[in-house]
Amino acid sequence: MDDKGSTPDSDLVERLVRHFGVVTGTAIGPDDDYFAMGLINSLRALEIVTYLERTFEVEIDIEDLDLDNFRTARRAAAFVTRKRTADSGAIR
Amino acid sequence: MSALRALLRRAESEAAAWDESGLPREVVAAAAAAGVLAMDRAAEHGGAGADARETGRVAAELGAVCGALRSLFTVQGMVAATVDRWGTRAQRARWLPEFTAGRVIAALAATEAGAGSDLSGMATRFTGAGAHRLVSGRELWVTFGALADVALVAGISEDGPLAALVDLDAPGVTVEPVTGQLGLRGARLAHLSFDATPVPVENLLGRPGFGISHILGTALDHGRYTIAWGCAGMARACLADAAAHADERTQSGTRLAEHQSVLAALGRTSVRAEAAWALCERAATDRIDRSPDAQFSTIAAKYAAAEAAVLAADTAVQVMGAGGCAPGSRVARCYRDAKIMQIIEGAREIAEQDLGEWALRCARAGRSVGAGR
Repeated sequence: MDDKGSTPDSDLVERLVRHFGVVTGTAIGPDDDYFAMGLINSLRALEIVTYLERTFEVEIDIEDLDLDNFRTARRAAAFVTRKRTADSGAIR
Repeated sequence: MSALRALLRRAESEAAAWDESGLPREVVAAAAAAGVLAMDRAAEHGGAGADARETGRVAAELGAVCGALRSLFTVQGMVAATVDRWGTRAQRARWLPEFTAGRVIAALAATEAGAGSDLSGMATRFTGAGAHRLVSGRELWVTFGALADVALVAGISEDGPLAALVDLDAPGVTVEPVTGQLGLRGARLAHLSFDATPVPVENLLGRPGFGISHILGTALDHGRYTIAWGCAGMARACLADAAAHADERTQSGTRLAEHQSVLAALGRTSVRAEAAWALCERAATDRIDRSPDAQFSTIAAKYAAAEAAVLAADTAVQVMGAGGCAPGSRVARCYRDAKIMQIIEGAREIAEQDLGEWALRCARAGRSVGAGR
């Protein structure tokens, strides 16, 4: 269970595991911290932001700049899920 | 956009003088009046709401006539883009109208003696807490550093990499103008030193920890993009000068263009110049689409366009002979400026490695480079 109230869908986690595996060129698991593993340079760090924004139609701004949102595939999936829920809540 | 035409005409006639003595401050106001400074910012902040393609094409027009003016366009645009991307609402409201109006000139300070294209060796430090941080360090080769009012500075803090807009009138700032360098002589370069310079917390950008990867990364990406187009414009201009000269100039009853070697040089150059232009267009498309590939297609465009500019300037000087070498010659100025473009905003060799990584990654994902977009 995610402590922030949104359990990411397992297909979403799997999709991000595959994507970050390609980005880092490393076989990673859903809870591997690729930042701590030294796999993320600045190009990749910024690309992760753009990828999540473009793929999941969310806006990532200064409030979201928290490594805890990006450091593992599961955390990124939870972050995207929270953002999408918050966005659709604002629209409706 | 007749104010832009007037600016371009003026730059064309004065670029040689600016190359000698530096771009004057009043040209910044003229560029603002022409509506080009940070033109890709929204109208509510004084921008023109231009998309990446429109912005790129203006960079190409500026680059064709004056590298220093194009550099002004680049630095002002990159700092504005960064504040827009990662600033708070209050920071956007405070800074963006100043940047688009040219009332505040921005610089980017990201090169140190021990850290050039590799940012990880950065020694600039932010210390302290409370209402102010103190920044100390020395930044080299800052484009428009001698004219700028604020500099976007990145450094290391207790909480990780940090970036801030530093007021260059603040205590502890020393500005040493640089002259006589190879190229970009009109671009008011300076070395900047900060000795416990106070930075109000409202000038800190983004969050600590993200100052290099995200804040500086955004600035450099935007800078590479307009440099790419500026180089593509420079390459086309040099090719046009070379071709016009080859067509007109007759020696011993033979037009230069009738010599096979001259014709072939024009052909080689034109292919590189147009290939670079096409890569700039592709980068524009990726940026408009907000594609995650955009950083890489921008690097590819900048890499190819800088190379095309170097080749085209070389071809033009060669074809034009002594005339190309003469004082005030545009192609001679481009010849010197173009080389800098293979170093600035990430040296050629760094770009090659980034693009190599991109090729590897595309292979892993089972797609070809440039496809799947």
